[in-house]
Amino acid sequence: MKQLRQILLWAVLVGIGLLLVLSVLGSFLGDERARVLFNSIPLVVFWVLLLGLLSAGLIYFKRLIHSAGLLGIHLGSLLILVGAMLGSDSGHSLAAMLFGSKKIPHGYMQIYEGQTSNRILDSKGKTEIGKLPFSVGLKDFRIDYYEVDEPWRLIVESALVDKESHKNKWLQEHIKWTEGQEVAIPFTQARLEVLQYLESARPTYTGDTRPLLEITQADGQKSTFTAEVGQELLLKDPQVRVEIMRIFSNLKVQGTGKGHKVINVPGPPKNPAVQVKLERAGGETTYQYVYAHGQVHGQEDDEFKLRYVFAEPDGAEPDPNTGLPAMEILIKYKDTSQRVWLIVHKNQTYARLPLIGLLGLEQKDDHGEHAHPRQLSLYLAKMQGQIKDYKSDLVVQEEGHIVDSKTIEVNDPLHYGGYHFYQSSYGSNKAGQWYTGLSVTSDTGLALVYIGFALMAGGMFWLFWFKPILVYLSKRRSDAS
Amino acid sequence: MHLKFDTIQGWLIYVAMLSFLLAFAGLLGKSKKPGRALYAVGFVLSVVAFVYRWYHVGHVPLQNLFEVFLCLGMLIYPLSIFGERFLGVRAGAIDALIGFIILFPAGFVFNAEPQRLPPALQSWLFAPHVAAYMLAYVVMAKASIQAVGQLLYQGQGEGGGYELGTYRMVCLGFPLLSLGLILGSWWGKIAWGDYWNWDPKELWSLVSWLVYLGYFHFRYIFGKKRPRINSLIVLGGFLAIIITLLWANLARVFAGLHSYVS
Repeated sequence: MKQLRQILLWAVLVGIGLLLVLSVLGSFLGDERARVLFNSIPLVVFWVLLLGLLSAGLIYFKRLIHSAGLLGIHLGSLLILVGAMLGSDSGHSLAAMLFGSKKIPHGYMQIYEGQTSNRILDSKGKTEIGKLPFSVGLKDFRIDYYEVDEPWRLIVESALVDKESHKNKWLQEHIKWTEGQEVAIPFTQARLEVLQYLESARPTYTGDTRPLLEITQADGQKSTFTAEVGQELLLKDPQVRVEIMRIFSNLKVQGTGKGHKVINVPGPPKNPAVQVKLERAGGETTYQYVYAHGQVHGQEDDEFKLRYVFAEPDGAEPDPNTGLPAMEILIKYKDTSQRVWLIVHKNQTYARLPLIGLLGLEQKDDHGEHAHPRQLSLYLAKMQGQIKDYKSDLVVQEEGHIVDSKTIEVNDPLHYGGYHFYQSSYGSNKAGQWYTGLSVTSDTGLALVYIGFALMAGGMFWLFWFKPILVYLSKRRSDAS
Repeated sequence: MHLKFDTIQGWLIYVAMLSFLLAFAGLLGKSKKPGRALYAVGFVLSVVAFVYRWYHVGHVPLQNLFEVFLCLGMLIYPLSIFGERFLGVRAGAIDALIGFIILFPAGFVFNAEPQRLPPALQSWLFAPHVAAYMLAYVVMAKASIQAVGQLLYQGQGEGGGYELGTYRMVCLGFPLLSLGLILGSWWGKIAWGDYWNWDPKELWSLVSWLVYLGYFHFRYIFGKKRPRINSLIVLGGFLAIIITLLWANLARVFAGLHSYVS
């Protein structure tokens, strides 16, 4: 008996030493390869032997049963080991083989807002590896941000053509301003002075706020008319009928080549445009897209130029309800100076002021006509703080009925039907639809692991802390009496 | 290298470090009184530095290595007193020197720039997990000093005292080391979905735990018959702790979930 115990003790030392060496090795492999190593067949044998050793210890060492602390520590270790083995990939395959269990140890789910799913994908989110016996739906997804010190910043953005790649190199610089003080505008020789800054403002307009179409003929003669669908204008010399066909607040081209489509994307008016029909006296008809910001698309005409004049505000006034800032600035370049407004409109996160035309800078660049022109813009832009939290409102459905719901976030998962659902990632598709990425883990064996943790910690503090304190106190009491 | 002479935070750390260093010198001398007083002053200053940090960042300051070392520096003094009063482990000049050494990285090496907590660190388990480990590490540092004492004075009258001192310190620290491991595991389950991820930091923390586990079993087999090996195991455990605390976080060989390299 004594000899057996001696052998067991030595086996324990060897077991601890072996696990120690393997852990050091695993730390150099990185987590993924270490996981493979510790789940490999030789290691499965090792874990089973360790389990046997712990059980033998509890059987052959009476002390491990009689001392509550030692019992807690060793029984706890045993439970943790058993729980971990049941919860491992191999444990799941074994359960599938023996009991026909269909539980999936690990997986990933991707659910779009307003949709439900029961498909479990692999960790890369590519292939389906199984289905849940219930489905999970995403009602809402949201991100909270930390507040930033200066939420709206004045920024200059410039695009320089990279000599080697011929691509635009975008540079940004933050302008630190004080009202009434002149500061340099980076990337230029110009300077600016903030005349007034309104934290919450709305744009003001004078005159007609309806958008107009402006036509400049070859002889310099200008004519304008309201840009509304169905409005038309007859030009003489040459005789052309101009008709407004469609209005876009945010024009976008989908696809390329013959199959392309022109659509109006709802949301902030980032790209206002009109489609016009030009009918010549000879019966020749062409269509053109005219953009408020910039060029004309379609068949261009030499005889006259079209411009879509989208009503621009000429100032701003305080309005506590908008929460959107406006800034009046004075831009000085050489001997000239100009007052301009940067006004952030509803549903927008920035106001932009193109500087090239304003300063009369040379727009042509050194790489030929077809190269992209240099950009230089002043922005009043909203700064996004660091992410504080991301949250998903989840619902669990079984046979069409909602059986559970929870708002999950990192550090607060949903537990249902033998699985934990963790907030692990998020994203959106091209249409701007949000999805949440959930990592899904089976809870098999988890209860044993937790009980093991509690027993081990309890046993240790009892054995090493509380028992000695009690002994010390009772000794002091007996010494005193 | 991050010098902090331009902040109150920095000066609090530097003055505390100076007190610990002077306390070390004082405790080496014949009269222990001035040294003891300076050691206490260093402690008070390190507490002030920690509380100031807490107030400044608005959350329990145990997020980055700067804050972790600031916290560690505060724990050495109460531990010296406790060890002396209840465990028969003398508080020597070396304790004050540990205080100085622990505060050095906070004062000179790590960046003190307050950081906002990313979603993964927003958990109530964060503070107890790190705090249990910090306390355990300081206790194990004291155990290691006792082990060194044992190795130096073996065979002399004091050798046996050091062996027992080492054992008592390890008994004090091991439950804390285990608690840190268990709380981390529990938190890992809640935050990442797994209570064990085979991450390098996890594996090194397991290594340090296993060394002390081995110590208990070895000492159970041989008792005090092999005091030198007992002491060497304890020193090996502390080496594993240093690797867990520094190398696993800082070296690029160990990229993983616990990496705070930025």
